Amino acid sequence: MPLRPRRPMRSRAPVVPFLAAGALALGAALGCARRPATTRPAPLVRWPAECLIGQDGPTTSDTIIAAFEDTSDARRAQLATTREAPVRFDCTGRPWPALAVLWSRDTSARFWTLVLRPPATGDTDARWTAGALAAAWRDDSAAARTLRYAGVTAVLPLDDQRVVVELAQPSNGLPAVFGDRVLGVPRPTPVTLAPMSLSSADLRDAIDRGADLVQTADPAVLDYARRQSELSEVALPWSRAYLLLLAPDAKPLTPSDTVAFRTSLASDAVSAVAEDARPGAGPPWWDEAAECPARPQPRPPQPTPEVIAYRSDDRVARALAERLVALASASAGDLRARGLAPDSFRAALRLGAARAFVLSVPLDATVPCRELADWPARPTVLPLIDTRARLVVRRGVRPLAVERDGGVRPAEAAEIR
Amino acid sequence: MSFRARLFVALAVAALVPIGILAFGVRREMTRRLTEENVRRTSAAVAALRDDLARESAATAARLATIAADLSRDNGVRLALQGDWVSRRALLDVAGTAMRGAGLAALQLQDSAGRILSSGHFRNAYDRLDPETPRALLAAGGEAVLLRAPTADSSVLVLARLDSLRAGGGRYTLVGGSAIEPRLQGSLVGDPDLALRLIEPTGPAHTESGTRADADEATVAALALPYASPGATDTDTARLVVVRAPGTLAALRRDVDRWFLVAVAATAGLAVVGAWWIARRVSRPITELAERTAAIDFDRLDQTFPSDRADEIGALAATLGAMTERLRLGSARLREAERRMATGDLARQVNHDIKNGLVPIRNVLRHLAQTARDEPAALPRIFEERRGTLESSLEYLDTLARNYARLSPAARTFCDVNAVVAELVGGLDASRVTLRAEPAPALPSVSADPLVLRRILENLVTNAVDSMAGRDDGVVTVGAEAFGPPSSIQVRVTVSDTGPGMSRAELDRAFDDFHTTKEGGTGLGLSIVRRLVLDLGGALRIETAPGAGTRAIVELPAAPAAPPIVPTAGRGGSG
Repeated sequence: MPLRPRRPMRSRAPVVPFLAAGALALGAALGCARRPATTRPAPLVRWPAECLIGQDGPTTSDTIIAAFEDTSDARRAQLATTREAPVRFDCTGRPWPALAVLWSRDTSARFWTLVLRPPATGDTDARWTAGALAAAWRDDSAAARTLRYAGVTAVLPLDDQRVVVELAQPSNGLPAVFGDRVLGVPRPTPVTLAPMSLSSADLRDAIDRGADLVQTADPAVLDYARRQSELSEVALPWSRAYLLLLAPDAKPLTPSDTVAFRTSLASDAVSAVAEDARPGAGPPWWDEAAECPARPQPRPPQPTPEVIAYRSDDRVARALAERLVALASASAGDLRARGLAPDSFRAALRLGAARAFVLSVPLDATVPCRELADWPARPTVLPLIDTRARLVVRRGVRPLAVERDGGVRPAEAAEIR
Repeated sequence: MSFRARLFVALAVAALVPIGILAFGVRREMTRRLTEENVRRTSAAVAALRDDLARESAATAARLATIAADLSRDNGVRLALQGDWVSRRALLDVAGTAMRGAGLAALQLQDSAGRILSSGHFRNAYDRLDPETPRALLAAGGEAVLLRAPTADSSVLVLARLDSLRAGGGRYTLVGGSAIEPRLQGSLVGDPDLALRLIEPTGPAHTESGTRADADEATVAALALPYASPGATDTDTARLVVVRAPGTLAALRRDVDRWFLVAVAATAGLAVVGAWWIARRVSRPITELAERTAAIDFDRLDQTFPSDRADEIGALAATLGAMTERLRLGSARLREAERRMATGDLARQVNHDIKNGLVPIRNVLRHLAQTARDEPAALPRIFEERRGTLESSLEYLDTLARNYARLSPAARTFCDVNAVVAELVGGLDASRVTLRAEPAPALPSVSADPLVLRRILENLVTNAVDSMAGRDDGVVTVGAEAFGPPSSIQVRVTVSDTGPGMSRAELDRAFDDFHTTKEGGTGLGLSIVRRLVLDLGGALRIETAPGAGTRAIVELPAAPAAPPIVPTAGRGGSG
């Protein structure tokens, strides 16, 4: 019995470019706006304990040497230490002041006003006025693309401190896009998290070389860390969802999409490469993805290769693809698993140039539509498993803060008071 | 075909044929020996291949036995085989660990129902049913079987063996094997000319794999191996074919051919150069002899054929020289005979003429004598009457004497050619054309009567001036020069004009008596000139072409032991 699709993606017209076009409409809207409903940020209290790691004990070093199994985790950590988003979300999803110290929305919930931190004399971020921030978002292609995918139709600085953002759809809660570090600015004070250059893919070598922080899901590495008393281990929030994506009009695969099937995948198929895996239910933002703009669909190659493609640097995806091949080989003898380099995988995904794809998406996406940018139109998507990584932390390392997207950074003094 | 071309062809053939025979022989012998050597090497390689396969099969069986023993002793595996869920993760990876540790390429642990419990080459194939593979291996009677084991992304061809273990009251099967393709390639790596091709029976078609594919390769041996097709419970037969790629032999042949072509090209080049040099060396004296022989004429018998060679060319030159000398003597004798004949004719003419002059005188004298005897008084009157006859006869004889005096041979002296030329050019009335004299300094004298030389040149210059009648821009140049070796120096006088020139037919008739192109001409000018020049021991030739003017060239031998004459003003001639 074939896997049952969770839901097909819907097509939608592309969003109108957001900047400049809505400036006049925004001014008119503000001029006749109803009384804005201001949301006060939470007072600067201690960062939630569940989002802090290593807060007890003496700190032996200010600089944290870190090693990551996943390049996306490494990049996230690097962004967390070098850039400051307008708003910071802790691992529970609660917003915290960062570049923006206040935020409010009007009664329509489509216009959000961010009040930036007042520039202090001598601060390195004195140049980040509202106008400079809006200009930076406009000039940076990644930021502009992120805003477009997030449904932002206009950005208008009111004065040096206030910037108004218009949304295509009303949002009662603070949009998560404001926590995306692509919209961030360089941190005024660098945070000392230094990546370790690795000579091998085995993170046990990083532990041996004295790494303070190792983020991994590899059971062998974690087992090695557990044997060492100076290391502690913390499980991070579930962060990755693995999906099986069938190209449009592709023949379904034979295994049944049951909880038992997904449980078997989580417990057996990936047990050699992922310590923590659970049956997947799909990312929570999945419902929002239905509203994402569709893009022109390139013509897929004919005929579609009988392969299940995965990113060659993703061992979990490889294990899942191999298991699917093993289960399907009884009826589809020619089906093979094929690892592709990231760029090739992205291109193949865009073209739908494989019978199926195994890929991962963040469970908590600040901009869901951005995650789907490379997907073919009208795919059939099946959730497989969710995974999470673990932190191996050397005792005595300064406290670490875990943010909503799973990014880890050294905690600031205000957060641990 | 010219002499040179024949000589070249002969040299080329003489050089290339031996090289071709040598190349053909070397190539043939090389092919024969290499073929024999290949047969020996092939036999040895096939024997080594059989040994390799047997050793590999035995080694695989030994590794499987070791793995089965280790798994039987492993408590975790024992618990997992009895359904312990906690140990299941370890069981999934146990085949991979054992496979890598034993150096195998495929390893699969199955229960008695054929369910895969752990797979090393396809880790996530667990729980699949594959009872056919152990059955096929059993059907092979314990021999090693070629098995294409599927993996997630491809397949691996292994030389598989079967083993089993008992744990927890159950019986489990181990199927494992080592990768055969790199093994087969490695077994023949030392022989670059041999290659292996595995022909697998997959239904009606055959799939082939091997180390190399070459259209020129030849099958030299074949081994039959039991083969377990996917899903089949019995074994089939795969063929392991040993082919010989003509690599070394072909390379040697190519090298020989290449060097042969280089040798041919070099030989051809050398043959061309050598043939050109030899032909030139051989044919040049012949060509010179031919040119000198072609210049021999009845009026030009002064050609010599000097040669210091002692070969056939020298003999030919000597023969031609002797022939020319004989011609020269014959010509002199002929001229002497002509002269004598002319002298006889002249004597008879003189006799006749004198007689003609004397007859009237004798008649008058007889008449006067008769009158004086018979009629003395009338003698004065008769004398007066016959006086006219006497005077006319005497005048006739005087004229006759003067005329014959002019026919007498002139006396030869040292004659200054420059002076004669200057006098001639200065004395001619040729207002319509330009006359130029180009004397040569230190020109040797010639042995000739200056009047004869003047007559010669006067005729030639007059002809040149007349040839440009009707033109006002004609130029006649009279030049002189010395030439020839010091032992036989000669003087060349050239009369050239810018007139219309003559055709070949006109030139051929120019020396004929009574042939003239001028109105009122006698047609004796050039004939007289040639005779006078020949009398002086010289030669006359005409170089002309229509529209290119005419050059009359008179070549006279220099007077022996005559010092060069420094040009002086006035009429030439020195004594």
